[in-house]
Amino acid sequence: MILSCRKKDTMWDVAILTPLVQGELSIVDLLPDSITQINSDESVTLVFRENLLSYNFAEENISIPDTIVETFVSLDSLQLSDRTISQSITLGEVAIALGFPVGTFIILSNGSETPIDPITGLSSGEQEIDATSFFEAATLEEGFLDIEVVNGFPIPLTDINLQIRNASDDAIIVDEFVAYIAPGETFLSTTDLAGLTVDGNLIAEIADFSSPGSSGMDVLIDTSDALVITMTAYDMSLFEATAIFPAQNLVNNQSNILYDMGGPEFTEMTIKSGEIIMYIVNTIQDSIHIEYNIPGAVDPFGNSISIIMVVPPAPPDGSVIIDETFPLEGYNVDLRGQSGVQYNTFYNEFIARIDSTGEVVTISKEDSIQVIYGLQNIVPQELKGYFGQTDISESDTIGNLGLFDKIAEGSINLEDGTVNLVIANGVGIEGDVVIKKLTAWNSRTGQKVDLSAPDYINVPVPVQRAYDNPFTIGYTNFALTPANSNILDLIEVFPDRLIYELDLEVNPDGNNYNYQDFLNAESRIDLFLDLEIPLEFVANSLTLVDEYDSGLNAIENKQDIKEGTFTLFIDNGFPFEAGIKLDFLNMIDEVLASVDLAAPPIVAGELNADCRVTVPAYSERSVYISPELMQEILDADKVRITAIFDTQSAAGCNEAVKVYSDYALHFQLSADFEYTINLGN
Amino acid sequence: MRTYLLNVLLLMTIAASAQQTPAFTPPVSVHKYYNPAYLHLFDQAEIQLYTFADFYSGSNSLPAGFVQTLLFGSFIDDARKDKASEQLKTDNTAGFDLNSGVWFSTYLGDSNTYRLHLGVEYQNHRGLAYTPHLFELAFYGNAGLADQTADISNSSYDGAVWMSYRTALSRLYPTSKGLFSAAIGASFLQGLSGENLEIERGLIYTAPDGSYLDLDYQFTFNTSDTKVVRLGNTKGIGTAGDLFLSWESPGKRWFSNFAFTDFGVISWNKTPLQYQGDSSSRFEGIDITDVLTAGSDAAIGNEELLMEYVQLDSNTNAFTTVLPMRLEWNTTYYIPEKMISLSAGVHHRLQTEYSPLFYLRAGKALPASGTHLSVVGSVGGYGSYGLGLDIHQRIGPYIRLNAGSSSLLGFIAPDQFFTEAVYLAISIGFNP
Repeated sequence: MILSCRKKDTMWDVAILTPLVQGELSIVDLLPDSITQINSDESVTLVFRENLLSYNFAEENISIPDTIVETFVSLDSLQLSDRTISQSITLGEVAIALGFPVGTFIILSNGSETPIDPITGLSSGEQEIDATSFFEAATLEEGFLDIEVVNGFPIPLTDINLQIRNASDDAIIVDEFVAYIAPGETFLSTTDLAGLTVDGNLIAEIADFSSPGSSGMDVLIDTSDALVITMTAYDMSLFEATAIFPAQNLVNNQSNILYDMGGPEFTEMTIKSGEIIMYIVNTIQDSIHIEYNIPGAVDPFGNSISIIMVVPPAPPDGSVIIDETFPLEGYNVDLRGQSGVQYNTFYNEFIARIDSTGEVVTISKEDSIQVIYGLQNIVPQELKGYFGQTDISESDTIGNLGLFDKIAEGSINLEDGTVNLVIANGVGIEGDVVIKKLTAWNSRTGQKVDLSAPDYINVPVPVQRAYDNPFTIGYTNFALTPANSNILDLIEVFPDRLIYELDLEVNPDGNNYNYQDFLNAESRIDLFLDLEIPLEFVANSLTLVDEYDSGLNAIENKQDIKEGTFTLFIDNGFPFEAGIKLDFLNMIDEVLASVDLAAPPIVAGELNADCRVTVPAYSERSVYISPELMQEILDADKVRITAIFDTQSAAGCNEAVKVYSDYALHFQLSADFEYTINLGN
Repeated sequence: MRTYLLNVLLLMTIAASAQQTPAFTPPVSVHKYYNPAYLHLFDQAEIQLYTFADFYSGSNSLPAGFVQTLLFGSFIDDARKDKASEQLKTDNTAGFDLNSGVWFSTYLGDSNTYRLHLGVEYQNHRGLAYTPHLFELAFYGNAGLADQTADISNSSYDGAVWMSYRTALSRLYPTSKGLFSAAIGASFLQGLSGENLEIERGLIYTAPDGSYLDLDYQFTFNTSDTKVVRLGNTKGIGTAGDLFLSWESPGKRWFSNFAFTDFGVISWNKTPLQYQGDSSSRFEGIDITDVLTAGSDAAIGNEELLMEYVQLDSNTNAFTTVLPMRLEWNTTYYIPEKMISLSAGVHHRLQTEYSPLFYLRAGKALPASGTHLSVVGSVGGYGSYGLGLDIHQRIGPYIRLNAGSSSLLGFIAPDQFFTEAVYLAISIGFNP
């Protein structure tokens, strides 16, 4: 039983009397430095800028189309070069073929003049012809073979039967019959090779020929005299060939590319992003050499675009694919074309070729090369030229102005205030702007006030253009003052939103600047609202509300904090009466507890003869927090502070009080509370 | 620890039920601790196991009941605080010691001349010196001191928890003037927790409306760290030495013991923290101007706030704790004819708020039951005076049980008396 007893916590109550928090808030503390301006007399002016519109002219109006070119090249465009070979059959070779007695007689008569008797049944025998300089083998779609037979014998030849056939399969390529060739004369014939398959190794044979002899007349016998057969192949196009192909261009495009911009005429462009694409499918068993040039596109170092690449040979019955992109960021492109007087145009060259490597390759009519190339996804960074005539209409509702979002209710009367609507034009274009509407809207109260400014509303106003070298933004200002508008009415509704409508007409007078319109990376057309409000006003129950994370629910052992009295000491240097209420909220904004210090209000600082507060007014407010209320406060996730202000003027001073930078409110919160110290067990 | 004490008590209760050989063994200190020389003199078993636990707390002004509530937990109501407050003196002290251990000892060699002792002990010491204002601030808060300056100067607190891994060697010296036993010991110390606060100057003025606190202070606070105390978390190491002497007269009428233990230091060097302050300042609340203007992101932690507003310096310098050394002498005269013993002694713990504690003991042996009963009166220590009882029970030749208290007054009338103590010990011998 003893072991089961659990030791109790060691605890006791203490009464704590201590300051908790303190601070001093000047107008500089309450408002961000970015929106306060301290004037020479230490008065404070609220300075606020809101960017109502930031218009990217290039993104909204200019789109550079892709320029993609696709080319397909097949073997029917391939050529084999013209080739000529010769084959000689000497008289001596014929004599040897004739044998005894005629052949022996001819050989023995070599160098003498003697009559030659008629000869019949002559044959040249098979003569090998090496035509591999044409190709190893080829099936021709078109082509011709010229056969030239020159009779170098001293006697005429008759009934000549000339055959040329493939060595491999004896297929006859040429079968020509010549009835008579006189000594020294030439016979010429042409054979159509279309549809024939021709070997590089051929056999030529004059299978049967005769001669009437010298008709009894002495003729000089020279066994080196020869019958010369010359074959010339030409105009060959192929179904398939195994050959050494000569260097030749498969694609050779040299052209101007014209962008259709629909109005603008650009002469120069610097590319922000984009790329050249190069997609090549090669089924040819030979290397394809690619060269792509845009002479008018240069990088910041002056180097023009020149892409050289080699597409490897395709494997047999296969293909090779090359898919590459080349970034164009930073390139400057001359858009005046090859002639230099055009616009929206650039000149480019694309060459795809095979280079003679000296190696034998097989190419068929089925082989091809597919090429897709060009520029895509081009986004300009800088443009020059004439931007055309464009009408731009913009309208929007700008929310979350932020300046007055902590003001829940109440009113102020401002003494003065100025709003400048500023158009900052970073684009080198002229234009006219028409402000059609500007409305201040307090969405919490529903109040809307339209701007009334006869000099500006619905009146075309020229917009200053930007200038280059150096880049200078053109500013156009619309100064809205109480004298020329109802601008204070707009401010006094504490707008959290602004509604505007405007039209902008670009280049209303056309190409006035002779292609000198421009934009660069910084070019925007911004519409700013610049607000300047001297803090001199009458506040009537001006209620400011703000919320903070309480941090209280992170306190450990909250239950040990009991009841207490909390006292707020205030030294108020502002000429405002103030009432404060604290609401403690949970995460879903339900009010768990409230502490109301609104009545009586914290006393305002008193204005002296110079209408300034020099001696802060002291106030002290105490509140008792019961144990139950204390726990609700400590359970809160957030605290909402509501402060209600009323300006307090003095005799001899304007009703509107002016706020100076040295005004401050010092506050201190002390507590006299019960706390349970718990040492645990 | 409480379970351990209860188990010891249970064992003792069971063992005490047996009636064994009567013999006289003189009682020793009013606090229980292991004395190798004493054991060598009176325990003849070849192997001896010894376990003990000793609790003692006292104050010169805090009633025992108040301390019991602090230590063992409950709500301290205003009535109890008021009673304690009525007892406050100009200089107030309080202390608390809790020690326990297990020992093993055996003869070295065939003779009984040398004996080796090995032990592990847990030691917990707290000491406090405080002014009446410090008590009032701590237990009532500062609201009652509005428009007054609370003086907490010369207040201090020291606390340490450590394990001692001990060894000792004892030897018998038979002489014509009696039998002497001497022992020396050495310990390796495992520091588990160490804290030390010295407030040389501490003045706190509370404005009547609580709008400010004026602080004037010079203090140093060392802590080994803020993590929990557990055996596996070593925060410091140290060493200590011990010396023991015991004597028995030839006629076994006079007995005397001398002990000087825990002569050593612990260096807290693993994760030490030191806070120092020597300044005067006015605290008017945490400045939340930044919080209001910058949102809750500007909030900072409690430790940073304390450093900022009380202007503390902190560092991680290692610090050293000198152990609360134990110094004791006692002597006993035994009248065997009447089986009565009379003892006198002085016990002191150096480097603490402990004052030398003088005690007198009168005992009566009951041979039939092997029991020796004593009453003890004392003055000094952490408190003022005490009156207690001791029972020593021998069970057979090798088992001895001892339970007692140097001051039972704090248990009997906790709101009137200032000290309370209790100890338990069991000694079991073996002759394998």
